[in-house]
Amino acid sequence: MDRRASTGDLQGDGAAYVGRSDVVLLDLSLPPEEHRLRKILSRPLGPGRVNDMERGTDWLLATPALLATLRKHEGNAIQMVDDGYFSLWTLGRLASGVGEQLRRDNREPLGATLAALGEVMRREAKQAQRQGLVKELDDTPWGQEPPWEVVEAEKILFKIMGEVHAICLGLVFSIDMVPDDWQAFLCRSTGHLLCALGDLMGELGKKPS
Amino acid sequence: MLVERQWPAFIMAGLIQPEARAAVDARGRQAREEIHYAFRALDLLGAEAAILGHGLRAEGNLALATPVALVATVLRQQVEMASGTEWFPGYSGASSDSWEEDLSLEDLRSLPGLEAAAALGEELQTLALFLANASNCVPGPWTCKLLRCVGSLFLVLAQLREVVDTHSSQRCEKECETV
Repeated sequence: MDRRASTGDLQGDGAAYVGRSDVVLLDLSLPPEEHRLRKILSRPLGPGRVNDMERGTDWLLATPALLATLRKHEGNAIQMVDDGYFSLWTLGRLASGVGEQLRRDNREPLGATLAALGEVMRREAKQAQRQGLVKELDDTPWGQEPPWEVVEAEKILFKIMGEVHAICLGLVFSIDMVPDDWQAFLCRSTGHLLCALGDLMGELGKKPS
Repeated sequence: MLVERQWPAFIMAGLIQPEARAAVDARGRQAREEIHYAFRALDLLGAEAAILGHGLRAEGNLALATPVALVATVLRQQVEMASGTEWFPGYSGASSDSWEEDLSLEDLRSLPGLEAAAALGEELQTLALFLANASNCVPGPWTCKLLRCVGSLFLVLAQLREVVDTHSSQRCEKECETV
């Protein structure tokens, strides 16, 4: 990550990488905190990118070592997506259970909203499995008794929300590092999850049960 | 109170380099300003999406024009939601704003339809990620609003991506047939 290429460099030895399908560029014209990984998979440099270079944008050209690192991270991202949906499935079952318990205790609309979030989590995990983003989901029954105490429902609720938030962040930051044909699915799936999570937080903010 | 949570493990593992990570930490303390910037950028991007959508419709490219116009609508809704709040007092879209350059809007206008739609998706994704990260660093009521906002952005992005991906595949197939 230490090789800065000027426009001139891109015409020089850096050009060796430009024609490759797995070139990764970091746009250094942005502040450091906004570095965007750009994967160019089988896409030639389009007019926009050429314009960027002509405008003097400072590019960091991927070195072979960086490419190897990024490939490793792509593998990590795929694993993270698998882990994320597995966790969503398990937590979704828990959320549905806690939601139903809250409904039975007449703690609406919180119960219904949590149950709805749980349903979205389970639905998205199932769809991810159909798409091949997660290998297997655990269908083992909880057992005869639900794995929580009613008095702890709220603690579980906040735990679930925190976990879902973290999982969603992991998933959205993985979008650029997973295979192209997964990306639209991940966008839609995380969109549904984030909206459902936002709804639940909104309910919590409106009416504490 | 600002709450800073852990970043995803793969990011902590070194994808973002130390100097960038330090900046990321600082970002947690600057969430308000960043959200302000992000909504200004969404405001601009939404206006560009509207122009692009009209252009595509005028060309008769309805398949691409529809999701692009939807992006414009959703961005306008989200910007309106945030407008007038402490996070986003409102923005008139002045051309001197440096975000315009960051967003490569000139490029967007000069690109052919499919490439412009793809570039719009890239910019939208960047801003959605930006706000997703900010959602981790703001007080509860705004976390809720931001999550809904980011969720809406990713939903509309998914629609755009699917159409763009389909068009790109079709074009690749045609090019292969020609070769």
